[in-house]
Amino acid sequence: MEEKDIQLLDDYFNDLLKEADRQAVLDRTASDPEFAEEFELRQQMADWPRREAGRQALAENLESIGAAFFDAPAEERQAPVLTATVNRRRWLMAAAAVVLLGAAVWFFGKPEPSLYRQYAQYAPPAFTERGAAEDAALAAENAFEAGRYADALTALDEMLAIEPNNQGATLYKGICLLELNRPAEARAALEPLAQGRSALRADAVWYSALSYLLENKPGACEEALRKLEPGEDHYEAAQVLMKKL
Amino acid sequence: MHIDHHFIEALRNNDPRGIREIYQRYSDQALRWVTQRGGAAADAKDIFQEAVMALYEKALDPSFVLTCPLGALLHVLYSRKWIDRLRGKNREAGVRKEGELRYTEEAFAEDTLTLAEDALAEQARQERLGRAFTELSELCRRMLTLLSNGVKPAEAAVQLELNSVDTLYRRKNACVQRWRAVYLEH
Repeated sequence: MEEKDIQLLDDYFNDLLKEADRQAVLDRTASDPEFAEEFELRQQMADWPRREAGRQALAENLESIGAAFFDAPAEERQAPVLTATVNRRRWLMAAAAVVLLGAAVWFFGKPEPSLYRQYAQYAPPAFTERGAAEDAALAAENAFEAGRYADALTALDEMLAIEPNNQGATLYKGICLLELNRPAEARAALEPLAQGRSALRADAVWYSALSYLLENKPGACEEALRKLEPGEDHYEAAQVLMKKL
Repeated sequence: MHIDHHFIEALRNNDPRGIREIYQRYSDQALRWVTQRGGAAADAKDIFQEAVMALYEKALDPSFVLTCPLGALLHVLYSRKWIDRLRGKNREAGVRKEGELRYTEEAFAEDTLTLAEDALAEQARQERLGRAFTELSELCRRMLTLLSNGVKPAEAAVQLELNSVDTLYRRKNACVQRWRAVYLEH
């Protein structure tokens, strides 16, 4: 870096350049990689002291919040959003972990940009204990946990081709479609479960209802939520959600 | 933009409600992951916090948009932090775990890994800048902090008892060059 360029950057960051000269500096960052690298370093130095205060404030906040989740004995830790546990012997119960929340009450009354994201919370699937369709099941689990919902959906379709009555796979197929922002297809996938009497009925109803949030249809969402009955999973969360619609 | 992007806004604003939700959703997974690998809850707490701080460095870029699930990104961040910690304590164990990590990371999407690497690189750079900053004189640190926080040069010159704004600029330029030199040495 030549002395004149160091002087130029000093003047730029001391706000001593005329507008045309400032623009010339910015233009040069687009065409001169070495100058651009030095410019970026100087920009970071200019920002660093101000941002450091923000870092420290955040670190203090994390320290305080983290204590409630890591420092307390297990039984005293704040309840995670997902409260049900996966029964690995009966993998279908994995979907029952699609329970919501303790945290819904916590959000009560606060307008949020995405009600769907607040309420759509689920446990990772655990299909692989099942004997059949193991390859597809493992692929589905891994893809789902990594957030690769398109890949998970492909694997779930493979599972369902082998085991068309696999209700857990059907439920997670619906969830994948929601995450891929395909709410109408999600409802179609969940419909048989929502209409049935299986242990996953409430989950299917709940996610079908949430699908309407992705389409900004609060009325349809409320109508679907009313299909949940007292005592069923998600019933209480549904009451909270309906008040926010 | 991924639907988890609102967590980035929560970090930008240091919003306790949003941050608590990040912990509610993802801390349990981090705790299990670390304790299954021989770490303690305190280790899990530290590396989870470091992972969130790395993410914060990305969030400070106003143009940054989250394009992958936050849980996956945090997982890559805290697992790499854990490997770094092991490597610091016991090189052999760290290298073994690194091999294991590479295997498990194959499950993650490319953009998740790229984002994680960017965040960790940015965090390392900021920490290096911070270490170099502490080696500056008290006057330099005060001056650069005042100006970074938007105090007008004339007002800063008064606060620092400098004769003029020109003197302030000369001192500041010298401080910046010293800072840069120490940073590049680190």
